[in-house]
Amino acid sequence: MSDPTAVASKPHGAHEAHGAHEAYHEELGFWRKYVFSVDHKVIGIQYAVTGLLFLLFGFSLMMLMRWQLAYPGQAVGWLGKLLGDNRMPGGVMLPEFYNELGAMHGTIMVFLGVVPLAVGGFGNFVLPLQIGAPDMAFPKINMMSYQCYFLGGVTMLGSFFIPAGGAAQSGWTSYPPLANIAGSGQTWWLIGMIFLITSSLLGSINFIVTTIQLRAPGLTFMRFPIFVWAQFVTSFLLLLAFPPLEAAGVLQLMDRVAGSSFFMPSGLVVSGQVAANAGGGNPLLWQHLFWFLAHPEVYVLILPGMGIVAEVIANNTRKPLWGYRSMVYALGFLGFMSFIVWAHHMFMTGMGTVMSTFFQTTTMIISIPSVVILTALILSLWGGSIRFTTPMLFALGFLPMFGIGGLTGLPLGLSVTDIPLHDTYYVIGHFHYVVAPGTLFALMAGIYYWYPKATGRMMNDFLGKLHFWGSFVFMNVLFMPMFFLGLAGVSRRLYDGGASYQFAQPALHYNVISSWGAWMLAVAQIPFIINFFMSLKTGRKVGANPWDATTLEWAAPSPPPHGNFEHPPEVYRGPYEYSVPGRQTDFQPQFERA
Amino acid sequence: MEIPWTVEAREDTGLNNGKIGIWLFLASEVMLFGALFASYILLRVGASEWPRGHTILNVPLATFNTIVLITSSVTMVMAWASLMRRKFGVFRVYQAITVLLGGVFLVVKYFEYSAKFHHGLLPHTSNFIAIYFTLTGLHMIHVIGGMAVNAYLWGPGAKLYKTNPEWFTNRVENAGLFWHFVDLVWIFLFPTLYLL
Amino acid sequence: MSASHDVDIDKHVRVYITVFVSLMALTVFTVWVGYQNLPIGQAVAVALLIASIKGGLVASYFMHLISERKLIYAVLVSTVALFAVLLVVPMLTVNDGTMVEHPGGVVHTVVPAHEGGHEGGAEGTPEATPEAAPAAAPESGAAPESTPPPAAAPTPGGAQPEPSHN
Repeated sequence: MSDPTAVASKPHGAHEAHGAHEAYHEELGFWRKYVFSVDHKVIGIQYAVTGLLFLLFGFSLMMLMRWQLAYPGQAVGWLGKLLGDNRMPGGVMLPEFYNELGAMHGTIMVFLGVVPLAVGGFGNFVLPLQIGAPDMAFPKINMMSYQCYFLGGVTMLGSFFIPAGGAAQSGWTSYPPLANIAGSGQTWWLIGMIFLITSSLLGSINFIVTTIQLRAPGLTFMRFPIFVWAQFVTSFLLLLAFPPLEAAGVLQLMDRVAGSSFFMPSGLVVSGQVAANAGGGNPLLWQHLFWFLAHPEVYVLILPGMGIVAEVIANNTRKPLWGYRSMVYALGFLGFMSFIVWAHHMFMTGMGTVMSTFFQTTTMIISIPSVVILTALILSLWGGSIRFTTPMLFALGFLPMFGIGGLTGLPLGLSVTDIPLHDTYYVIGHFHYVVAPGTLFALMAGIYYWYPKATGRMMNDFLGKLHFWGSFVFMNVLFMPMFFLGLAGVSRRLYDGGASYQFAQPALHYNVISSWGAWMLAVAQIPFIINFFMSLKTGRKVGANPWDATTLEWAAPSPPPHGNFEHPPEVYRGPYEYSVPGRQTDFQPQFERA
Repeated sequence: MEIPWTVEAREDTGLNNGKIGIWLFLASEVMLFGALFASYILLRVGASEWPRGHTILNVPLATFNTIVLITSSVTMVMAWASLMRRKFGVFRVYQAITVLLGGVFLVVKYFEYSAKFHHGLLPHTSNFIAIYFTLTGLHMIHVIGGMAVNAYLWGPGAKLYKTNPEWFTNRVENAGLFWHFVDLVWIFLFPTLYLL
Repeated sequence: MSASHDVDIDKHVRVYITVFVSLMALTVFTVWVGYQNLPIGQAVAVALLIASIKGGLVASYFMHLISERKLIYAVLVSTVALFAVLLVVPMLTVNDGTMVEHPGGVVHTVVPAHEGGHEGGAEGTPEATPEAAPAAAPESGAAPESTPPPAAAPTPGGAQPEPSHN
């Protein structure tokens, strides 16, 4: 434990350098300042804005799909003209195009939207500030990480415009043999993924080293805000889980481009013809490598959100979080367990009962730390002086939504109940509850909470509440029916939503409800988009600590200058000293000596 | 603004930033090659036929390459040791030999691959050949990357020694860690593909 | 640099040379063992053992792991544990056969004759889509028993049938 009163020695005179660096900063041209910046705050905003744009784009893809699901085969003239005959001839969506939309919706939301916003955006912007650091440990690598993400995004978007066949169409899961024999969009998908994985790896290394090495004097691990812990665990997940998918991507590229048969079994017959390759491969190999990443990936999707919710709840209840230590241990245990549950996505692949039991057991166990974290967050509300600010509304909304998402996952984690539910809309309902009114709500809370730090202005509260209530209602209208659709047996990835199946007829109206939920959800985002841009100019100007918060980022000016802090901060206590008895104010920041 | 602990070790962790960074990177590389080894195992165990390595691959050539790579690992660590002793000239010699030995490895690989192509042994021929090319190919890319970094540190990068010898020594050490890892992967690759 | 530091480095250099010689010897040994054409099981065990010793030497002495900080160990131990999981678990979910070697250096996998290796899970799937998963069988290798899997029937509308996986 480092001596809280000691000041970390800096290599050269930091104060003298400060003035020189401001002058240096003025000399940076447009490109070095805004495009190829090495400042974590600029990079964080780049990630966040790009991520939000991809979220909007991915949402738009889904809104297109939802027309086809609610009104299969019905023409939309103007869309047909816009998208052309090879996608929507006469305004009716082709099944191949539906599959493109589906595969790319998933890919874009997960890899280009949520993770870049949650980890790249919030992680980059907030983490160094919250630990009292001047920047990330490796600023140039940080910049490269964003550029790799950008290139990956361009590749993925570009794949829509490939003349022969368009974008990837084999689900975000890209299972062989289908993905192996699919059109060239799949190759672009694989190349795009390699860029994105590289970006992730560079970022995760940066985060881990920064957290360990650049924390301010007095900031011990058990004084970290929960957000810092969440990002720390997330970074390890990214570091160790992504490489197998990179390997799998290379293998699939070899199969598609070099004619190998890593995933192509012997004797494969496609459309009546025997496949020409050597065979001997195993499609399940892809599934193992894919899910080895993709399961930890879902924890990457949720953990930063949980961290944000923890910060917002502590701040808006004006009391310390309940169960800080339990939450920290739960986060760590969750991270560890997330590596050994992956084959619960593969219960239907014919594994023996021993291995199936193993994965069911680990899956049941992993629900425990999740519940610990959710319970601690809920208990943190008890006895609090709750301020129903916009970030707090989103944080509160997150709690029951994540609860529903988590609980609905339980039958999927037991192989017996997974049998009727696997690959149905029930699964889609489950994971969307966790990611959409789960993580996305948490990220919205983060945006409203940290916007004043990044811009020096508050977002409009009325528009924020409009955004929240609209989103909360329509998220549920959109996703709740999916559980019933799935229980009725309707499979996912059907381009007509089950309309061609007799047994599905009684459940098809759920598709209509969901679609209207989606379109109304889009309308509910309009106040947010307006607010986001309008507040840049007209938002109420604020100082360093508009929320009366306790963590280190609120010691820096709003917005922070290059180098972040006017004086190197020091930490004197834990992160959530709210309502300390005997004090004038109801909070005692970590960075204030008295 | 200076990033602290770039050169000196932070007291409580005892490490500088770059060293933690490179070890984390190597951890991710362990998972990358691990996934490929896992793929090899799954493919082999599930295959109806699988040749013993020496029936198709050139063991003497690969043995020679193994010796080359191990030697280059020694010269790499000697390069770093010379810097610790502040013997810059000796460092340059060892570093140059390391890069050259890497080059020898690549040349041998060129002959090996050419022979395979010449005999019509390509990834689409069989999964054994496919995984052979994939594993050794990815390893080869890492050799090239390592060589590039080492060449940079021998050449233009060596200027840093004059202004900040400690920082430069750390960089060479970290590059060395990567190079040893490349050697480590080959130590497992070689028996797996060629001798089993 | 202090004189004591120089002495330290001298000791290290001696260690490096020793390790180098050991690595050379182990390389020769492993190649020799390779030429002995041991049964595949033993060959794997011996090769892995020698490789681990060699790797251990490189890691401990060239990479200085033997005197490295706990933090680095912690990262590596977790990584190696995960590496082991990745190596072993997929095979356990898929492999039901035993490997048999034939003269001439060809290794066959023989799957028990009573079924294709499935123990549970695949029956009773309420799949309404035309079964179009020619690659559903985890084993591609049961040589005496392999029959061409059912052909993928072209579906109306030209859409590629999707395998029923999540």
